[in-house]
Amino acid sequence: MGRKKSHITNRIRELRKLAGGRTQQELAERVGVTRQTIVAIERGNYSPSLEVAFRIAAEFDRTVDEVFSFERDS
Amino acid sequence: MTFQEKSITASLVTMLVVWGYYFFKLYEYRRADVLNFESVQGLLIVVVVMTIIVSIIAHALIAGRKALEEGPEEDERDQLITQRATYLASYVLGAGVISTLLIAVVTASLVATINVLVLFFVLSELTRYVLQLLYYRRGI
Repeated sequence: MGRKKSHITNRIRELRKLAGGRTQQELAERVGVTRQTIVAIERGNYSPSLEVAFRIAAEFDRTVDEVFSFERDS
Repeated sequence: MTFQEKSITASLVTMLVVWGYYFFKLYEYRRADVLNFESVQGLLIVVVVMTIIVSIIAHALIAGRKALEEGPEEDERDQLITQRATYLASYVLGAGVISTLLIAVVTASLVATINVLVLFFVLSELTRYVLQLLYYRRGI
């Protein structure tokens, strides 16, 4: 079983830094998930539900497509 | 390692140790030619009680350390991992049900029937725990 990488990429790590170095733990608490889930999303190991994606985007005052993007198979 | 991973690992180790003991004893009973319904019944009771006691102790220790950590108990990722692992493990259990029916028809042995069912139950639980750990480590 190979490591499953998502087709959905994100800028969460970059946005956390832009937001004054917000930690994964802080973001996780605000969004209502575990820190491990934020880690998995940032690494591309987990694609969040639409609701969590909206919550994350809202935390950075961004739209979902400013935070997440979908990579098509070439 | 997260709380969930520790909890699953504890369940996996408990399952391996306790049910490993069960099948080892079963093998000993068979070699001693004392394998019958009463011996299996007594052994099953011992193993189930052992499983409960070991699980309570292991999870109490893990939960005690969890109290010192932060964060929600479980989120959507944990639930998805549990759902997928349980779904795949259900195939093992399904195969076990069919095998048990075949063994019951072919051998007409209550001891054999019970133990095939127990074996597949243990295998399906082990499959579930291993898959959960893999999903946590490799992503889902």
